[in-house]
Amino acid sequence: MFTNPIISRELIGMLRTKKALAWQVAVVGILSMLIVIRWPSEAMVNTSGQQAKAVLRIFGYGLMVMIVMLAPVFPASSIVREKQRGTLALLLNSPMSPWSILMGKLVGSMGFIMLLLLLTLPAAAAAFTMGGVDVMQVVSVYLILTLVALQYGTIALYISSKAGSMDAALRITFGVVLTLAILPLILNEFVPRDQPMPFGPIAFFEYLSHVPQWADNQKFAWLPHGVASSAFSVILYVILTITWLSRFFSPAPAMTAILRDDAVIGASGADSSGAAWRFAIVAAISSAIFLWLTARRLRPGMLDSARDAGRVTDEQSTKVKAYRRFMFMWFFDPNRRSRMIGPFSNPVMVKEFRTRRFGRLHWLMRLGAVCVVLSLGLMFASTEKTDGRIDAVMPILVLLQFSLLLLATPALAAGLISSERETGGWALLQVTPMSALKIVTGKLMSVFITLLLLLIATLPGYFVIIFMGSQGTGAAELGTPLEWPGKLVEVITSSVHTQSVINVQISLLLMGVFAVLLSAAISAFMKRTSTATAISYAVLGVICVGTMLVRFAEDAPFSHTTVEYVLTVNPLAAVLTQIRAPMFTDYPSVAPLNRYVMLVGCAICLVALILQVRVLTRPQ
Amino acid sequence: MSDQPAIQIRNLTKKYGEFVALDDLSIELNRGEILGFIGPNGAGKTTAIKILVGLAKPTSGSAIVAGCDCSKDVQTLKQRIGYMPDTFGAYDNMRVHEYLDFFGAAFKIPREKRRKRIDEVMDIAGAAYMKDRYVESLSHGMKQRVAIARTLLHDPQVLILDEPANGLDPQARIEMRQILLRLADMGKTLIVTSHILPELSRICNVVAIITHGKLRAFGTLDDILRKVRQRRFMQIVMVRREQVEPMATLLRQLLSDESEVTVSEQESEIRLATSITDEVMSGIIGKALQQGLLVGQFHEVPMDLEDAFLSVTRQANTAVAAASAKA
Repeated sequence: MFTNPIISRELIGMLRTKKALAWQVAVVGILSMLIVIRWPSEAMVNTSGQQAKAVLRIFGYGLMVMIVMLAPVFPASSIVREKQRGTLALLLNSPMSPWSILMGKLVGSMGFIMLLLLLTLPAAAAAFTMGGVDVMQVVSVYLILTLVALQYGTIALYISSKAGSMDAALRITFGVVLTLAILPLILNEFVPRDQPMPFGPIAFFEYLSHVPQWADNQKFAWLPHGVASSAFSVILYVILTITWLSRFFSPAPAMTAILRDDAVIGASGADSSGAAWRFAIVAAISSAIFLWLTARRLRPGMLDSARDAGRVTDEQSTKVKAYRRFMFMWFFDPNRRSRMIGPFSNPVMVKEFRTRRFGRLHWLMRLGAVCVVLSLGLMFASTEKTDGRIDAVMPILVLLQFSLLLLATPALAAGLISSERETGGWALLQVTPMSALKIVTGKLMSVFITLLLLLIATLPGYFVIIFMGSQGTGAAELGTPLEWPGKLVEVITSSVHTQSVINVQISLLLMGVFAVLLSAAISAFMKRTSTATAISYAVLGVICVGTMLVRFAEDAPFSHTTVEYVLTVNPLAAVLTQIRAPMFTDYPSVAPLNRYVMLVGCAICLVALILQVRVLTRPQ
Repeated sequence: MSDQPAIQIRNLTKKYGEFVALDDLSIELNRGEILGFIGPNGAGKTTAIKILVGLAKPTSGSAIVAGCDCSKDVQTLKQRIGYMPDTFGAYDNMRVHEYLDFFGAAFKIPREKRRKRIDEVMDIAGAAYMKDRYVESLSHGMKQRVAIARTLLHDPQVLILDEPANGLDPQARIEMRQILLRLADMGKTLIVTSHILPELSRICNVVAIITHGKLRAFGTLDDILRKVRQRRFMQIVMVRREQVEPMATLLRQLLSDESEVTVSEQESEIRLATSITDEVMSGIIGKALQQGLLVGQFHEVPMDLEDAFLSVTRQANTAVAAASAKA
């Protein structure tokens, strides 16, 4: 296998870069610090093994986050880069078989991840010598991490073989990987530990038989009659099925089970028995499937695609026009010739919407509709699961909004400037009379509007919460349709949950603005969109997920004050403290301070963005 | 305005630290003229173009294009010039008319006027049929046409086109040539860079040859050919292939050291670069015939832009090498 020329080119090429050295130094440095902090220095040594377990917990979760964020980066750009540079055609015309090309790519990109894991072994050994840790636990952690790298690496390779550009490959890969890693943790809330397989005719009919009882349930009395038993029952069933399947794709339950993290198991109610085995089997099978799918694509035919004829509805027959007018409500028809840019529109903003893969109006409407359905579906399902306790329902809605922001923002904003420089569009923009400010404003507005639409589309779930909070005040009683606007205002003002919902939305809005400005600033400093996208996801991942690790290590090794101090930079923690989510009830200063941190972060990113854009637009 | 040259470049110099990218460039160009701006890679063409379109500032000297100072009046300059860089600048997921609509709006062309203007420029560039196509699905030749249309949108007086014929097939190259000539007929002033010199020589009224940042030759093609024609190029075709080498030996004996003799035995052909007169040459041919060497064809190869370019760059390289050896 090591005679494979692709391995030596990819792996050795990667190891020669400064980036690789920086990663290796960072990993060794951070783990060394962890061991130094937790190594017993007192005269009396705690032999219970709690310290070693605490170190292993941070170690395991930290490496898992690192692998989830890093493993897909190299394979995601691996095949599509060759395609863009035209070297894939050379490889496909060489005597190398698709499998040897694929294995070269896989081993080449996984080799670096394995090297990083090897570098962590001394730290693991040090944790082991502190006592209290089973050797099989350490081995299992490494096995799971290797499988995570393999699974997400093979998914990234498959996406890379399908994508048209490097940044698209990275965006889709991160979207899929983070969804697979995080979504099951949210959905897990709805599935009981002993939930049997939900599909099959018997399971489906058994499920349906429960729906009328739920609809008659007191806590769903506010729903119009008939709705609960039809549309919502289908949504619930879909969520149930997806949840049942998705729980096998996230490495988090497996890691929790291996680390025997009672705090997390208790807080989440997750079932830990057999989680590691389940994940290992699913990871191995899914890796093999994705490898096979990618190998099938690696044939000369993959480069043979027809050019789009670009037919527009305007020039098609009346019959087609009528059909499309009905299907797309005409206004949203993607094949309709678009209108000229208006006198009051920022041309850059319009251009950004038009060039974005899912930026056109029909896509925004579809995305909005999915968010509305998801928001209401989650609301309904979580109410069922938690007996209507708002403290249990709110975190789920918050996590939905937060995940959407975290996934969508770098994908939308990390290419704002770098993609122009990459394609040569920046020089063209520079020779137009548009000012740098107008260009940047147009670009930022296109992202802000999209994110705002996403946030608004996820609000219906919160309206239900506000409505439930107003019950008993008289405002919740429906009058005639003419009275509804007034009733709506009354409901909002009288609900006990209105203020917390507003607080949450303000924090999420601030986080969204910060994420956009951060990604845009990174984009202005990078020449390649793929690099800007990867860095943006990594920085936001560290801020929003990485700092959460400190929370899990409260008292061992970090004190409550240190944890509270660290969490002030984390907007997710700020939101969770505002809704008093489990594990986040004792940090009163996090939310108010986080707003200042976010505002300062926004200001820094905005200044960096403006200065760098001025540098880029100034004549050389 | 009409009496003034469309482009006036005076003593333009651009330095990046110690490196001199452009050294004292001076050029004047009248309205409706097409300048062929040629030079080897790294000669300073792109630097000069960047200064002319306001993307770079000169270290010293001045450039006035369409009445605007390129380093002081950049906003007005942008309205008066059309720049087509060597990269297309495609935006994915955008149709051609949307692409042109965006640049039209960026140039602040009112909506109604823009609609008509897009149709006009697409007609001029021969791109009307691709109006609804997605930009990324266009072939290279199609993209070049769209790029020309984009450059013309705001009706600029001066067009600066970087490698417009690069990568085009012969048919597309001919069509591109026709488009450029049509633009000159419309009164536009064009600066065109290209490595395809035979193509350039067919459309340019004026040629500027630049190497190592310095202007080596400037003027009409005939002027330049006259200046660089210090040596003549002859072609001798022998009747018998085995006589090619004896003929070459005879030529080397009789000609001065500065003459170059190149032999192609496959084609029974000898090429000669020399500065001798017709009288001396006829004497040499006479001697060859006396020795029984049968000359089938003998003629002077006419000089073209390629030869002029090679001659100028060779001289410049020799001068630069000599200067650096002296230093």
